[in-house]
Amino acid sequence: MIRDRVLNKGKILKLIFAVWLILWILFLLREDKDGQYRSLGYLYAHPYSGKVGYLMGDELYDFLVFCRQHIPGGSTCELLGFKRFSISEMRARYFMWPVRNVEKGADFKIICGEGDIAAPGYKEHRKYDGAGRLLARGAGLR
Amino acid sequence: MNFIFSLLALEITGAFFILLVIRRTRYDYSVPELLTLSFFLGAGFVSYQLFLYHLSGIGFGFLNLIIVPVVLLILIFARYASRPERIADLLPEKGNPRRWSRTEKLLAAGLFFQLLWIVLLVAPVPVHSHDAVANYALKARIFHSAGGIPEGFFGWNEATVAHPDYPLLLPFLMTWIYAFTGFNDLNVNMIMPVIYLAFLVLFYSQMKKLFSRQYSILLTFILGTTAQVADYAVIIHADLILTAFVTCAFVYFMLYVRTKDRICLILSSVLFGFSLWVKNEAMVFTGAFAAAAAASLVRSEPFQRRRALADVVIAFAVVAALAAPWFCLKFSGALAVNSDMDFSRLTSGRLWQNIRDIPILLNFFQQEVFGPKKWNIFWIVLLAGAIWKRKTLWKGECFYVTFFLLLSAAGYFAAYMAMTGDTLFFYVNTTISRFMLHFCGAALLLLAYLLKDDIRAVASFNTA
Repeated sequence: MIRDRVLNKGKILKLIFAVWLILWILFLLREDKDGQYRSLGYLYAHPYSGKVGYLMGDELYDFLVFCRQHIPGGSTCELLGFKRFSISEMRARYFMWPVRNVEKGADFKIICGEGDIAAPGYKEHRKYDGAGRLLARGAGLR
Repeated sequence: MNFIFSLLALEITGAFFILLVIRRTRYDYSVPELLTLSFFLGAGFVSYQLFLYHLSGIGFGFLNLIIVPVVLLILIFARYASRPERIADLLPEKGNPRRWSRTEKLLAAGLFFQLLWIVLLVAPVPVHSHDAVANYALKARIFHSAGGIPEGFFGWNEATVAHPDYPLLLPFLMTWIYAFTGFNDLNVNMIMPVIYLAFLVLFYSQMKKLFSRQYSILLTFILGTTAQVADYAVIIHADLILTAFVTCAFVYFMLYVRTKDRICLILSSVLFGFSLWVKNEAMVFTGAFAAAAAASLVRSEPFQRRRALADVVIAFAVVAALAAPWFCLKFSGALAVNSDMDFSRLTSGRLWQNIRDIPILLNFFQQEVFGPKKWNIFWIVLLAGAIWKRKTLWKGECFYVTFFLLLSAAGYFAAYMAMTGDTLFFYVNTTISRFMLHFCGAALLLLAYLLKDDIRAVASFNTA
């Protein structure tokens, strides 16, 4: 009787461990997100700028590179055209540092995408050919 | 290469503490424990060092940072160069190690495979996850480029940096690495696999002091292959670091309970003290640790009580000393108000709303427990084990684990009820899986205690 109980206990514990192993391998190897392996391949194959562009989206990345070239470090900016606290906004903030994102009174407004966002008191700082506008306070800082 | 030097500098700082302070008390450690505990102590000390630099107006330049590990290395060298015979004291006491069984080798190979998988996922990706770019990595980038914490940083609003009031261990650790490597947010990601590895090795070393080697490696395998643990080793988040500090701190406390060796309690309190630099949630665990330490005092034998009281007082003093600089700033009013939990906005109406939303919390909780994607069958086995061995839950050493877990869980529940920034749905939806991560190490320890006798019953598996 005691022997049977011990054996059953052993079988149960072995079964639990087998389930653990199967689920571990299954969730480890399956693609968590569509195209995960393709993305990894792309990221391994490209240099740093290509990686950041891939993660951020090429259109946004190109525009922010343009903005960084034309905004002096230490200035302030307000990033617009994003869903508030979205991953794209956060990546843009991170990418733009040392240009500091603020809510009010920014030296520059960076309007990403095609959205028609009014910016009274700001004028175009540099012409950008793609989707996005770079505005500067007052008469601009040309 | 510079990345490795930055880690070696952390090791020196931590090793100084262990070799010159702990070892003198004849505390016995293995080499893996020495290396990994040095890493965590070094990482904690870096927070302390950089924050004191900030308070003293010292910049975060490379020479300013490296001076501390260099001086500590000289002190270590001076102590052992003058009396070479002391070097023998440094080495761990050698036992007569058995050869690893096939089961042990397979489990270790599984963990190695998991680590390689994590490195494969981390290596090609720059910092990118939401909390990393909004909070930890952005702060590190700010500190590195400014050569310190900029004026007024702690009062900045959320438009500039997320949660300037959060503890700074991870941003400081990244700033430390940047001081060696220059700004490189591709290489710095590798700190997370290093933390994952250090956590598992330290956990294994600790488990070996409580259980057999076979059982210890099985427990480490379970911890390391839990998807949620591995997933948080891939991104720059502080949650895995908090899990590591809290788990290892609590296991040292359990070693104290078993051995009554004061140094174990001091190591526990040092790790709990440093955990307060990782995330605000550490306050809950440190409070639960204080209660568990007080319980150990109450439950001690009358003839041991005076010494137990001294142990507990020392432990509390260590936590207070380590946390003091950060909490002085926190309570000075210089920090921006926490946007999620603002007690001035916690009205009875808001509290009642949160209480009415408890079913939402329970729903998300059951999804975590029964959904295998993040947790495999971890929580199912724990719950089943707790029901099956319910009479053991409050017996012997198990009492402290159950007490610690329940008290910490109650603290988290109370915090959810005190949320004011957004709806409870929002908070539970975005946090519960990572909050459960904080508990998983201590929960695994509970499972280890509950099942050790039964696993011993399985042929060829010794847990004693």
